[in-house]
Amino acid sequence: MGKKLDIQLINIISNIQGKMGTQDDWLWTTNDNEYTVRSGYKILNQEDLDESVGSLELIWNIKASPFAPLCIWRAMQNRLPTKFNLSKRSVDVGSPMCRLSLEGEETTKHLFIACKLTQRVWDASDRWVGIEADRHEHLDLHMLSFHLLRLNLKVNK
Amino acid sequence: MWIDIVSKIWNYRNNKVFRNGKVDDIELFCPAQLKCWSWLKHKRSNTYFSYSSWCLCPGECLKSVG
Repeated sequence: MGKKLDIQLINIISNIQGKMGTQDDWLWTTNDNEYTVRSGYKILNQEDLDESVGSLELIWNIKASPFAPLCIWRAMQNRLPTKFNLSKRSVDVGSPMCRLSLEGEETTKHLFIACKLTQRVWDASDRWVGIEADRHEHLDLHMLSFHLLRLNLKVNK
Repeated sequence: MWIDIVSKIWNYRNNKVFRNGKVDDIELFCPAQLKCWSWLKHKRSNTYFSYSSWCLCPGECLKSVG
């Protein structure tokens, strides 16, 4: 993994041609070339607007213990330090396999949806709540289908 | 509920990765049920149902707290 990253870095650098005889300097690559807090703020805001919200907004309105929405928020944006995510950043995690099922790499998707143990937990949860939620490949769709079924249940009762 | 289960999976995964031991789905699911219930109990003053009825019919219990 470390080697891969090295090669990537070398590829990036190899395209850059240096000028001899001048001193290195920091450069802010917007129109004005000079860093201001205002221009930094503008760029950050633009990035935020591009992100899809929808199901992420829903998370904060759900009533649950405070740690839970935070965890889901990170999971949905694939920001949990799973073994796969850590090894992508060259962290030595030993075996990349999922510790719960030992089948497949421990990615966010695997851990919360594909893992055999997790599936048994979802089955137990379905039986408990009395619904049959679709097993979606994506965590946010999975949440929405669970949420909608629960709402339906409330209306029908 | 959904959200509590997902966070419990992560929590459980951490326990297994860092402290080892055998894995079991019931061992994961029951604490998630308990956590939901105790959170409701402390958050809402009108939670009158017991833990056992929460496990048996969660739908009815949720209806009673509104």
